[in-house]
Amino acid sequence: MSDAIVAEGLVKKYGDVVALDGMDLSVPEGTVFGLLGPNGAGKTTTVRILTTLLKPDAGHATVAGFDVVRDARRLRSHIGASGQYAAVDDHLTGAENLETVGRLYHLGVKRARQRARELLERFDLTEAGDRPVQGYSGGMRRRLDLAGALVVSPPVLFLDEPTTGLDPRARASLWEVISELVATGTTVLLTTQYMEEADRLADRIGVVDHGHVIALGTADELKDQVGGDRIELSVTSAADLEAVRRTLAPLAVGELQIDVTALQVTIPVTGGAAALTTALGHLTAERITVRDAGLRRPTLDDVFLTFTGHETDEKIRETVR
Amino acid sequence: MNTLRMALADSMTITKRNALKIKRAPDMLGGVVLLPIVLVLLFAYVFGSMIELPGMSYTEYLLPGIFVMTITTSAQITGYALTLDLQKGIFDRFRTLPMSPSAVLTGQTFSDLITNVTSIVTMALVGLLVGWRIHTSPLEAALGFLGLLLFAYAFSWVTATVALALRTPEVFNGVATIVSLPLIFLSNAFVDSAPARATEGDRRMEPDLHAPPGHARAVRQHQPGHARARRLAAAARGASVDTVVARAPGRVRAAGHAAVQESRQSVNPREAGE
Ligand SMILES: Nc1ncnc2c1ncn2[C@@H]1O[C@H](COP(=O)(O)OP(=O)(O)OP(=O)(O)O)[C@@H](O)[C@H]1O
Ligand SMILES: [Mg+2]
Repeated sequence: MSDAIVAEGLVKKYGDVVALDGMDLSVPEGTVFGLLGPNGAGKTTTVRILTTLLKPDAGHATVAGFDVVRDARRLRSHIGASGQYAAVDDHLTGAENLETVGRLYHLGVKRARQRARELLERFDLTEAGDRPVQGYSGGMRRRLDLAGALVVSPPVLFLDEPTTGLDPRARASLWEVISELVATGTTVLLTTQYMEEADRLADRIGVVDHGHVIALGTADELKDQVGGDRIELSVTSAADLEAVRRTLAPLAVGELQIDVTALQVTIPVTGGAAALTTALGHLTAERITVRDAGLRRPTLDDVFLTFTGHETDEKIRETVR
Repeated sequence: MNTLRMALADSMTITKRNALKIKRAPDMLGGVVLLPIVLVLLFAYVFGSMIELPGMSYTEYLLPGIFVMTITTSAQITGYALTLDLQKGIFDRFRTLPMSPSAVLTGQTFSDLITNVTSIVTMALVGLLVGWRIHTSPLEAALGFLGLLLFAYAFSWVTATVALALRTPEVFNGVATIVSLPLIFLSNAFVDSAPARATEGDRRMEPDLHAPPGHARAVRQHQPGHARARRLAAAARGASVDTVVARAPGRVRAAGHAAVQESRQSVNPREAGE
């Protein structure tokens, strides 16, 4: 299987701000790649370069075999894209919005109209389809925008935070749509802030920070890279948090995470159940009341927090404040 | 599909989209229809009775100027609409599609012809109501209006270019007002700011650099009842030299002059003969 998306050493600067700093990517055909990263990591910038909206300052990329700069015009018939913010025409109806997109993909009048109806139905917008978009809710706009990316069932699809602002039902149905498309061979690159989404949809995940990929692999591989297990403890009062930290710090194999609001401490450990027993023993000796304790595998949240360390610091500082 | 056919088809798609927008949101069109009505009535009744011109009514002198002024304003819709689309990310959506890149602009300017025609028709009708008449043959009059429309179309492209450089609707609006307002008053729309043109031939569009600085005087002298057309004209001419004309892009100003002049002549041979 060849790669539908390849990016090598992409660099993009906005004045002094380095948005992309050596971004490398490769996405095999018919798979979903999830770009995960904190705000300002460079996810949108990457998507904009790959969808021909921006020219990189250095590096190169091909999508569906076309160079994103040199073959930009030909590439555009092979991609569908939905940006981070819904770009729909307020004064046009949902159907007219999609028909316009269809016509600009050079579908015939009839085919464009038919396709618009199919997509409205698929995105649960049939009823609203003949109303001006002005009266749509945020989630409805988002869905219409996503439908716009699927007008020609393009072989490569770029979705920038596709489920942000969608209710759980709409999110689930978008996941279903994406899964169906991938089953028919579509390649998808999506960015997301939701770990659950990356876990569920993405065959491979790239964790991005400061404009380049800092960790890459399947969800399981990344979790293994982070390593070990997590002990999660809840205490009854905020005063105990510091005592827990002091007592269990020697057991931890990395940074402890303390959530002041939830009165929860997460401790990365090795040794599984034995480590949990040891920890509880120490806490009993210190007469710290534990409300709830458990052992779990790392989640993508942990992956995210571990690899994008500065975000962890910020989160802790925020919660402490 | 070959490039030219694709460009045409895409332009038509965008034109249609914009036409739908005009239909759904007639607010912009409202401005394009209401502004001319207000301007024509205002100038015809307020200034028209105050200013006397030898040989013709001021209303008739004024109307062609109002035509061009309104068209200049309504052509700014092109730029404004483009900045709105840019801001909303609609351009980005279009730019990921395999469409002809120029179609966004040609489509916009085509659909703005609809607004421009609407303005012109409105103004002509209101003009007829207040006493403006066509004194030439229907063909010449039609050519005059065609010229006006062409000027509008060309000016749409000017505002489109400016819009793409400025990018946001707020900045565009600010700049458009600052630039177009002086140009309108510097033109010969309201007062004949280039009286020497008959003798000076081609130099007639050049600002008269030796005219007296008259702006302040104009304000002072412009007491109700004392105003005289000639004094006002001199004052406006002075003001123009004082302030902006010397720096105004000569060609735009000249084009404005020419358009006013041309539309005046094509409907009103009397003025042409003077
Ligand atoms: N048009 C621009 N002008 C200046 N700086 C920009 C511009 N677009 C992006 N940047 C900067 O580039 C960096 C990467 O931005 P980008 O939008 O790619 O982040 P992101 O990962 O999509 O973030 P988010 O999760 O908030 O959407 C940021 O530091 C941002 O401030
Ligand atoms: Mg983004």
